[in-house]
Order: sequence, then C-alpha cells, then structure tokens
Amino acid sequence: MTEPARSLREKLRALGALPAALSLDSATDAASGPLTQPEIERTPYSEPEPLPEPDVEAYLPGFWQDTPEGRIFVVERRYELDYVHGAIPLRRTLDVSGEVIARIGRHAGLSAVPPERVLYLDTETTGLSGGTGTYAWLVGIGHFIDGGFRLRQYFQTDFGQERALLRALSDYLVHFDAVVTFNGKTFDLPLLETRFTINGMVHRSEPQTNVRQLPHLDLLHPARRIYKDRFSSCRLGELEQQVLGLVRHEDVPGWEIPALYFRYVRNRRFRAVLPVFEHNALDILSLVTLTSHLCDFFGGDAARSAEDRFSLGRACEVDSLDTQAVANYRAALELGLQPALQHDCEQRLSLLYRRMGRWEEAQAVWEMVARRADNRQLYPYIELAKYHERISRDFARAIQAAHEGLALLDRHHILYGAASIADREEMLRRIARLEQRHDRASAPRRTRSTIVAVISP
Amino acid sequence: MPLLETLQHLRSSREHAGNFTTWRVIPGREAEWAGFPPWLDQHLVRTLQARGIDSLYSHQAEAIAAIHDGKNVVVVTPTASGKTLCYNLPVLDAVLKDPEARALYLFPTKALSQDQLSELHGVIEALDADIKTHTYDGDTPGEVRRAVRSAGHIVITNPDMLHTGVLPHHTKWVKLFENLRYVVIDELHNYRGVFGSHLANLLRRLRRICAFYGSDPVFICCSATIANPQELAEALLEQPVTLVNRNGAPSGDKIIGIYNPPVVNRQLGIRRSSAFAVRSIARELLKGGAQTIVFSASRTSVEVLLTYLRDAIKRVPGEPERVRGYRGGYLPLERREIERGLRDGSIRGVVATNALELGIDIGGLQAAVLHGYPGSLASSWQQFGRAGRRGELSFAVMVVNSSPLNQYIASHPDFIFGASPEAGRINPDNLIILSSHLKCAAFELPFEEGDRFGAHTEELLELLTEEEVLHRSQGRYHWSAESFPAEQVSLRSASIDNFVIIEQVPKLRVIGEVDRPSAPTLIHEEAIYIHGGEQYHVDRLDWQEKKAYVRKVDVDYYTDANLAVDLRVLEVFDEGAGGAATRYHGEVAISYVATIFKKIKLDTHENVGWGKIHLPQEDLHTSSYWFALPPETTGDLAGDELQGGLWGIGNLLVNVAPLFLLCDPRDVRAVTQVKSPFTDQPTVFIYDNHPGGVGFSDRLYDDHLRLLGAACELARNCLCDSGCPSCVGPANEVSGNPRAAVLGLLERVLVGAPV
Repeated sequence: MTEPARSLREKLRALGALPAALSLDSATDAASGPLTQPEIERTPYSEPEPLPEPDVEAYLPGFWQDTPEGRIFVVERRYELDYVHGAIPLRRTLDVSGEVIARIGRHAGLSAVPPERVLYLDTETTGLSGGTGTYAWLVGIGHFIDGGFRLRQYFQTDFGQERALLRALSDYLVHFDAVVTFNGKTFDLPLLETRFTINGMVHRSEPQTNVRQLPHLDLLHPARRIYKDRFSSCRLGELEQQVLGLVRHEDVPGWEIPALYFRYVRNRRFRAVLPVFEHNALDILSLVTLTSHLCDFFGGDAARSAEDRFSLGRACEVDSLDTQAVANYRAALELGLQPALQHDCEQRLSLLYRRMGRWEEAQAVWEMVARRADNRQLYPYIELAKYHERISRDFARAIQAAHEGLALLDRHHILYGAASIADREEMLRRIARLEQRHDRASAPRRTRSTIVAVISP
Repeated sequence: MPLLETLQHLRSSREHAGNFTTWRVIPGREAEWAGFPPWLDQHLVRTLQARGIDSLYSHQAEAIAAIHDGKNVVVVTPTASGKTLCYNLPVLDAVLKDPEARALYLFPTKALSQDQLSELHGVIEALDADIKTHTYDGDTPGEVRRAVRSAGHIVITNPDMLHTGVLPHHTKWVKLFENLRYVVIDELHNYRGVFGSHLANLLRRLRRICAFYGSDPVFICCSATIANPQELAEALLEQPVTLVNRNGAPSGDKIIGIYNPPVVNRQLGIRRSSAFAVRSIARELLKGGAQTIVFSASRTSVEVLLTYLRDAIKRVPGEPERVRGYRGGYLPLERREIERGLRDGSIRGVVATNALELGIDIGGLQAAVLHGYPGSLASSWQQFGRAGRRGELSFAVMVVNSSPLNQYIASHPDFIFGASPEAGRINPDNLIILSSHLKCAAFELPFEEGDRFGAHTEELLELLTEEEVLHRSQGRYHWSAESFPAEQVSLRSASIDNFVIIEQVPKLRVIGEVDRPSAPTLIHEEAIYIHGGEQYHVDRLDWQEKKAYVRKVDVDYYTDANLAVDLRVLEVFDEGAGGAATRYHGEVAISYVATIFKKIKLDTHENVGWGKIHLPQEDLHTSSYWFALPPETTGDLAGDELQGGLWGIGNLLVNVAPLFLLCDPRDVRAVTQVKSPFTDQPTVFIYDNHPGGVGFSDRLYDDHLRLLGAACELARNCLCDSGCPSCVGPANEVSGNPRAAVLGLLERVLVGAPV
C-alpha cells in the first residue's frame, strides 16, 4: 500500500525544501530569451563538457591573460586626457592638490601619492549582501599613465577562474600606492580581501593582496558630508546627474547585475553581461571626475552657489577648520539662501562664533534674528540670556531676553503645541533664577563687609 | 527556625498532610577529590589555590584528563557541581601556554553568555594574564565586534549568531579559525529535536571552516541528566565522545516531595488550584526563615506569586525588598543585583521562571518549590538542584497540576527517582534542515566533488545545481544566488517559512514566530495565543503575508482548534510486533485543514464557546510511528465506541510521549483511523509535527511497549469516572465511556507483553 519509491527531488519538493527556480525573467536581455524553462528531467551532468571560452573579444577590446592559476580576459581601453566625462575632462583630476585629497579622505598618507600611482577601483559582484558567498566577477580599475587614462576590467569568465582573476589583479596592484572608490570602505575592499583570503592568497610577501592596507579615499563620505541634505540620495548615479553633468542612457541598473552574471555562466552567452562592462567603465570614469569635483569643492573653486557654500561650511566645521567654516557661512548668507537654510546657517554661524569666543559677532547674529519681525526661533533669546548671564554679567538684559523668549512662546503657542510646554517651563525657571541672581547682585552686601571689618586689623 | 522544624510542621499540618504523595530523603555525600594534573599551568594552579580551590572533584579531573588527551567529552553532573571548571581549565591552560590559541563557547541564551563572561573575567583578572574574552551576539557594539574578531581568545556566543554572524563571514575570523583549539557546548540537552538537528548541521559547517583554516578543535560538552547524553553528543558532533558522569561534588541531605492538590470534583477530575498550594508552602518556608526559590512557568504567574509572598515576609522599612521576581524581561543590571542578593543572603526569596534553572550562579538555596512539572525530568532536576548547600539539609517540592503528565508523575515517583527515560533525539539528515545548511555551507566555501556533508551530499549538490542555486565549474560547486542563505534559516524551526506574530498596541512589535504546520491551530483568527505566559487575542491572520496581528488580553479561557486530518503512508522504515499489536515506523503525508475552534475555560476545562476557522488545506510530510490493533484486541468495541477509544489513546500518547522524549507535547500529534487503508485495522498514528521529522518517531517506535504501558497506567490510576482532561480527554466529547474503552484496548495489547 505504500506509494512507489520517490526520488530525493520529489521528497524535497513535497517538503517544500526546493526553492522555486530563480526568477531571472525580470532581467532584461531580449537576445538570450527567458531562462526559466518548462520543467524537464535533466540528466545530472557528472562529466560536463568543457564549456567554450566566451567570445569576449568579439565585443570588447582587450586580451587573454595567462596566470599560473588559469586564464582570464582583461578588457583594456585608453582615454585621452581631454576626454570629457559628463561635463568634466579627465585632465582636471591631475591638477588636484594632494593636500586636499588627504583632507577629504582623512588620511595623511594620501597627500604624497603621485597622481599616476592612484588606482580607481570598482567591482561588480554576485550580490549585495556581503559575506563569503558573494563573488567579485568583474573588477574594474583605472589609472593615469603615459599622458592618458587606462581602464582595465578583469573578468572572471567562470567561477572556477576566480583565482586567475585575483592573481592577475594582485600582480597589477603592486604599481599603486593609493586607491579611490565609492563606498569601497564597506563594500568593495572588504569583499576583495575576503576573496583573497578564501583562495588562500593573503601573503605577507604580497601586501597588495591585503587591499585594505592601501591609503584609501572613499568618495562616498566627503560627498555625503556636503550633499547629504540636498539630494534625494548620495548614490553615485544621483551625484552624476546633480554635479558631474552625466546622464546615463540605457544603463543596466545595479540590482540586475548579479542575475545577468548567473545567466551568463549558465548559458555562456556573453552578450548577457556586455552592458555591465559599460556600466562599470562609467562608474570608474565617474570616480575620476568626482574626485576632481570634490577637491575643487573643498579647495573652494567649485563651490559657487549659496547652498554650496553652506554645505562647504558645514564640512569645514566637521573638519575643525573653523575660520574657513565662518567664511563659507558668511558667503552663503551674503549670496542668499532660501529661508529654511538661512535660519539653519545663521544658527550654525552664531554657535560657531560662540565656540570660537567671538562673542560680539555671535551676539550680533542673535540680536539680528531676535529683532526680525517674523522671527519664530527661540534659540537667540536663550543664547542672549546665557550670554548676558555668564559673559557680560548684565542680568537685566538677560532677564529681558528671557522674557522676550517667553513672549515668543506664548504668541506662537498654537504653532508649537505641546512641544512648547517644556520650553516654556524651562524659560520660566531661567527667569526665576536670573531674577534671584539679579536681586543678590544688586542687594547691599552688608553681612560680608561686616565680617571683613571684624577680621581686618 | 531550623528547616527541619519547618518541614515537620508542613508535613503534619492539617492543610497539607495528606497531599504529599512522595516524601523521600536523599542522603548527602562526601566529595571525591583529585589533585591538579601535573601538566596544568602552575600559575593557573596557584591562582585557583588563592581562590580557595585546593584540588579538583574527581569528575573534573577525569574530564580534564580526557580533554588533555584530545578527546571530545560530555560532562553530565548535577547543578552546581563545578561543570564550568571542566572547560575553563583546559581553555585557560591552552591560552596561557600559547597566546595564539583560541576557544569558542556556545550557550543557548545571551543571559548565560553574560554570566559566563563575568565568571571568566573574575578568573582572568586573578591570573593577571593577557587573555581577551568577550561575548559576540546581537548586543555587542560595532567597535567591540572588530576587536573580538581579531583578538578575542575566548569568544562567547550562541548558535544563532554562529549561524548568521560568524560562519558566513569567516574571512573576518581568520585568527580564530586558524587557532581554534576548543569548542565548548554547554546545556547540551537543549539541543534536541529541531534545534538539535540544526545544531548538528551547524557543527558540520563549523568543522568544515576549521578544516579550511587548518584547525581541528576538541569539543567539550556539558549536559543535564538525560537518558542518552553520550548518544546525543555523538549524534550532534558525529565524532566519538567520552562520557564523564561520575559526580565527585559533595552534597548535603535533601528531601524531595511531590504534592498533589486534593480532588474537589471527582466526575470532572478537577483538583484544587496548584497555585494556591504553592503559595501556601512557599509562605511557610519563608516564614520559617528558609531561603527559597519558587519556579513558575509563566511571567504572569511569577508576578502574581510575588505579590502574595511579599505580604508573607514584610519588608523592613528602608531596606530593599527581600522577596524578588526573576524572569525574562528584567534588565541585566537588575538580574545581577538579584543574583548577588541571593548569594549574600540579603534576598530571602525569589520567584522565577526557568530563566534561573540554567547555570546562572546564585549559590545554593535552602528550599525550592516547583509550580507544576516543568516539562522534562532534566529541567525538574535542574530546578531541584537550586536547593542544596554542602553539609546542610535542603528541601525541594514539586506541586503538580491536573494535566495528564503531572498526574502521571504524582502517581509514579519512580519516574522521578529512577534512571531517566528521557532521550534527546535529533535527525541531522532531515531533508529540509540538511538542505538548508548545505546551502549555507556552499555559501561559506564552494563544495568540491567528493566532499561529504551529511547524507546524499552528491545528489543534493546536483539538485541545487539544477535548481540554479549552485553553479558547477571545474569540479567545484559555487554559491550562485544573490540571497544570503543563513538569513532564511531559523535554527529554532524546521519549516522554511514561519509566521510572524505582531502586537499592534501600544506599539507595533514582533513578539514571536510560529512555524507553518502549527499556524492553523495556534494563530487562526480569534485564537488565544500564549506567548511568554501572556495571552494574546489574534485579531487578524494574513495568510498570504504570513502575519498574525494580535493584542494582549486577559481572559479565563484558551482556544483549542479541531483539525480534519487525512493521513497516507508513503514508506515503511521498520515494522514489528508490539504486544498484540503491530507497530510501524515510516514516512507519512498528512493533509489537514482547521475546521472549528473551541473556547475552553482555564480551570474547569468547560467548553464556553466556539467558532469557525477559514483557512486553506495544508500538507505535511513527516515521519510517524503507528500501531494497528488486530480484532482480538478490540473485543466487542465497535463504531463510535471504538472511535472514542482510539481518540483517547491518541490523546494519552501525545501527553505521555514527553516522558520518553525531550520534547514539548506540541512536537507530536495523533491521528486515529478506525479502519486504516494502510493496515486495514484500527490504527493510531503519532507523528512528528515537524516537516521531514526530527527523530521523535523512531524513538517512540523503539519504546512502543513502555509508552503504551505508561499510558495504560495513567488511564487506570485516574480518579475520574469515564475520562477527563487529566487522562484520556473529556468524556463528553465522544460517546460511551472512553476511559473504559482505552483501558480495554491497551490492556489487551499489552497482555503477556514484557513490561
């Protein structure tokens, strides 16, 4: 009465343990057609036919490179220095100062690296989740050489060629003293390090296999410092559109890339991954021009608009470059910001003045904001009250400022709602304390002078 | 008042005298000592001596010697017998001699990890050695994690973290895996059933990574007393394991009692509330001055008992409370303070959930009161073991409730005091669990042709390749999917998709998960879902999204869902005689659909309402044990009466199974067929309620006669008329006298069978 013997596959299906076939339908590659086929009984391929090498050279310039670990394809292209990527020629990057690079990369080791020993690197992977099961199947690198810019893309033609890729890459890495990436700190470099480790290729004699030891400029972080609140995101694509003047056409979206590679390794049609090479090349060129843009920005040339100067001021403040921050905030205010940014900028400028001990200038900002007819900000009154209490020791003016703040809260009670209750209570406490101190300060010091008189000879 | 006087008073009082069904004195024992082995680091020995440890107990010396010989060990000794030293000594010795050496400690919970950390810190501080140790779990801050990965000598973590946070990122742990000398697995008996089957696979992955980096660690396991510690350890490690179970630690005299509250309604088999008796006994003990721990199952009952007992022993004004609660949900600092208070005696009483059952150091108390059977003998003895100090009398009592299991224990004290029949079983080759971990392993390192990973490795690798999860290139199978497989596998559940339970107010939060086979009966709309002792009403179940939306309630009923079940036999693994019946063990396909639910009053088990359940049919493939009843055993039972008898046997067996298995009554379920299409006879199936099975049914097949014997005893000894929830189930649910029918059937099966 038992049912006929079932295969492992049937058992797994019955248990729900076999996943549905990977859905690659969404991946766009009309040429190779849909991959999910009707279910047919496939014979397990215990002795697989050696798969043919892909016909990469029919599509891309480059060469096959033999290593002791196997053979891989290296795409190589050269760009002239006058090549304009987006709105910026590559040449501009050669002119940036090492000092500024070191500053935006927060790594002193970056300042002395000659431009031609800087490597621009970006990887395309089999997933974004990280961990040891994610492979870097395409490693794009670029650098300035012989009056031009050379782009190389190391392509893992199958999973089995990973060691060959890593070998070729590490042999090439010896020529560089610094690396530039976008989000490489958390993604590309740890991933490469993991790949070297898994393949037993981390050696003391080859420090380049420990890619994370190179001085590293990860452009994501300086970009974030200045553009965080201004753009909808700080992804490379967004920055390209907003500041590099580059619009990509028919670019493959990043999330599709792993599926395209899986499709390629299974059906060996190189065309499936062809668009990724273009995508990766654009990424690397963008690293180059973004470097020059950010350096110009931080160096002061590219920041022209009021918003730019405000962003730069904040970045300088984070880097403890207070004088430059003040100059940028003031320039931003002079150029004219939209009201919300203006209020933010004024507040930051005044608090920076306060921190620098430039009390008069700080006080001037607070007075200006407080006197503005439509002012709804509380901080100038609080700051003025503190200033007069502790610095100028003019309790009467401190009390006056606190009362003005209280009046503001009461006037706009409806606007602030519940949030104003705590502020109001604090303001009342402040007034009470100030009045107490004021009374004590103005009362005659009879007791103490009596004692002094007694002790004095 | 000395404890003995309090006990005499308790036992002779009118209120309690007749209710102690067991009162047994276990004489104390002297310590068996052994010297420090000569190879042990001398600085370590001197440090221990300075801390008052002048020599080892014999079991510690035995364990350490075996570990030193490179053998895996499992140490099985009672609570507070110095188990931690069995692993801390070899580990510290190794690190002192070779600063590169590393060790990994696995504890089932974060609280235990914290406790172990502070204990280790104490020793390391006294050693004044550069030994870095830290916990690595969800609570570890980012900066600390980096330091632990590169420099931690002893990394304390839990299986879930090893599964998702360590192994898939092994390249960040090169130092650890290159130099891993010891892996410590404490509370080994926790790893049975689903969790254990997962752990076995996790250890396969761990060993694979170790081999890759060139290390081959020794495993040191500790377990509470169960029937098969060595077998369980060897099943988990898939390596030979040396058993160390001759306890050398001393103990004082101990009295163990079992207390069965009196019957108040014989027809319905209702007894007086066990909570009431617990309160009364604990109060006597506290008033007599005995430092007492009360164990209770749920958070709610902990709080209720706490309030009551605080009245019994009034707080001195200006001083802290002398009776405290202890349960999950208390903050770590508060827990530490309570543990300290218990050790120094300033806290006189504590009401705890099983959170305090495990190896947290609170010193020995004088008395322990267990509110109900904690579900396993292993837990019972761990809770009893909380009472006991060297050279002093201690007392432990279990107050049973009216459930079948509790009643069985009340009438069978030998079950408590004899050799444990509870076996921890696992099935590492459960296809779902195995294939899940095979994926994780392939993610961690590509498989090569000829590699072994449990059963059917080659076939599974080919299957996963065809499914395009793996890709084969030059004889190696590479992970070729975008997902992160470890995140899709929960170690606490066998099925792939779980339902999450979401509390909506006061704020949205996930309070737990339920695996798919249990969802239709546990979280259908209007169900009362019990979690952490709290009741939640299921407001809405989104079957597609696998989400149940619940809200906390306080009601006096629970819900019980009816399943319409269809069972087919797919494959028979074993078949044999079992008394007058024929027993089988094999694989079955079950289709079930939840039909209605009943609302059942908590104390009286009255049916107070019902509703319909609208959910799609579900299928479960799993392993099962079953037995068929030939005509000579059914006698003149037929039709509804026979059906009622089979139904009663099913209920009984599901409740009795945890006596032989370390499992929860929900881990197995019963299906009965008056004329089974497979056996052509009346048949009772007890199946493993986890897809693919996790090793319960073969154990039940092996223990068939003992299982039926225990069920028969339980039905025979019940005081009810024709069946009640304490034995075969409420008689009013079926026709006839189900208890008599069950007894008739079981006695005829067991006739002439060896007991």
